[in-house]
Amino acid sequence: MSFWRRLAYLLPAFRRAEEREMREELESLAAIANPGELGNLTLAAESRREALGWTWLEECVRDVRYAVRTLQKSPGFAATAVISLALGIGVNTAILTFIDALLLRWLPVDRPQELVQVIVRTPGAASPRESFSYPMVRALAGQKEVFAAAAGFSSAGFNVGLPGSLRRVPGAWVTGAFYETLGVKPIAGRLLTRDDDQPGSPVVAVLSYEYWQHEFKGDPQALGQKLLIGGYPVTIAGVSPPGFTGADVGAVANITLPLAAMLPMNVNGGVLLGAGNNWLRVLARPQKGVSIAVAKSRLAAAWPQIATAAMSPGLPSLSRSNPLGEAGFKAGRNRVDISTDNVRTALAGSNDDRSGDSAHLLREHCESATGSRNGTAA
Amino acid sequence: MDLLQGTLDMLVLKTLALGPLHGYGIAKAIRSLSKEVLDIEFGSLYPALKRLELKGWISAKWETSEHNRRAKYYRLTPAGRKQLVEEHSKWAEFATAISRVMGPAL
Repeated sequence: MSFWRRLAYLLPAFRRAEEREMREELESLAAIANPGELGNLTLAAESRREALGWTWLEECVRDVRYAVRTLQKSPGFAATAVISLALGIGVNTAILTFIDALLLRWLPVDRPQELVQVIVRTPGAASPRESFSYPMVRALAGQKEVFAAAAGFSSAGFNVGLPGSLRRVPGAWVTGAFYETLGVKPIAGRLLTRDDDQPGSPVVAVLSYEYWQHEFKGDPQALGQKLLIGGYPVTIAGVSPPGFTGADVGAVANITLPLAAMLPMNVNGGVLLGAGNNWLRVLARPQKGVSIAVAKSRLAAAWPQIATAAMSPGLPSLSRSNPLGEAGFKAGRNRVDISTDNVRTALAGSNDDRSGDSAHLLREHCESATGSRNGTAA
Repeated sequence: MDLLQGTLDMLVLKTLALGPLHGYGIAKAIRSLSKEVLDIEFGSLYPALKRLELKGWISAKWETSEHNRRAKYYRLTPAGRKQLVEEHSKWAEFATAISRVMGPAL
C-alpha cells in the first residue's frame, strides 16, 4: 500500500496535490502556534519530501540536467567523449561478433553432430596431428567399414583474374567427397563430386553464395563460365548455399577447388598431393550404426593398410618421408596400438553447448610403441 | 533532551492513542506529557508524521479545531494501535534491561 502511494507521488498531479496539502497544513499550523515556535518550516517541508523516499530520483534528474547543460557548454569535449564511448562499444561488439563467428557458429551442414574430425596422436610428438596427406585422406575415405564419407580440406588463397587486375580471393582445396561428407546441397548448379577429384578431370570450382552474389550479382549465367584462377581457366560448376563458407570456422572460402586440380593448374608442381605433405584436415561421417568406439577400433585394425596407402607412390611427392612423423611408422614392422580412451567432443565447427549439435573429435591414439621397437629388435 | 533513535514514532503513536491531534498539537502534547523535558522539534516531527501515514499507522483528515480553526488532524489506525502495543512492550523490555544494567550511579 505504502509502495503504491509512494509511486503515485512520482505523478506530477499527485505531487502537486501533496505539495498543496503540505503548504496548507503548514500555514494552518503556523496560524495556531506561537510565532517562531515551529522553527524553520521550509526545512520541515524538505524533510517531509525526503520521507517520501524519492529525493534520490530528483537528485538524479537534477544531475542529468546539470550534465547536459555542462556538455552543451563544451561541445568539443562532449563529441570526443561520445566518440570514445562509441568506438569502445563498437570494438567490443566487433570482437564479440568475431568470437561468435569463430567459436559459436556452427556449420550449416547436414546433421553436424554426426561429423567427426580425425586426429592422430603420435608418441613423442608435442601435439596431436590434425593434418594428413592427400593419399592418406583417400585411404581414410576408403574405409567403408568405418566412414560413410570422409574428406580432407585446407584453406587457401587464390589469385583470380588477369595479370594486372589480379584479386586475392580466400578459398579452399578439398577432396572430392567434401560436400558429400558435409551433406551440403547446391543452391545453383552442382557441387564438387569425387569425379572432379580424379586426375585428368576438367577443372571446376564451386563459389560461395556470397561471392556469387557479390561478383556475379547472383546471375545463373555465371555457371559454366570460366574463371581465371592462377592463370588457369576454371569452370564454375555451382554455388554452395547461403551461410556456408567452408569447413574452417571463422575463415571464408569463396572459391572451392578439388585437390586433383593442383596438377593441371600446376600449383607447386602438385607436390602437395604427395605422401610427404601432411596439410589436410579430415572431417568424416561414420557409417550409420557405427559408434565412435566401434569406428575407433575398426580404424585401429585398418591403420597399417592406411599407412601403406599413404606411403604408396603414384602421385608426385616432395619427399617420401614418413606420414606419421618422427616416431617412425612402417606398416607391418611396428605394432600399431590405437587406444580407445581418447574420444572426446570438441569444437569442429560447432559449439558443444548447442545441445548435441557439436561435432565429435575422433581422436585416434596411434602409437608405434617403443615396446614394439624392442620387440622388433628382439 | 535529545530523543533516543527510533523513539519519536513510538511517542507519536502513544500521543495519538489518547485522541486525534494536529501536528502542532502532537508536539505540544509530548512536551506536556513529559513535563516539559522532551521538546520535539517540529522539523523532525513533521516528516515522521508522513512516514507513519505512509506505513498506514496513522491517518490524516482536515477538521475544524475548538478555536474554529481548520487543521489537519491525525488519528491512530487499527494497524497503528497494534504497532503501538508492540513498541510499548519492546520499550518496556528495553527500559527494564537498561535500568538493570545501570542500577545506582555508583
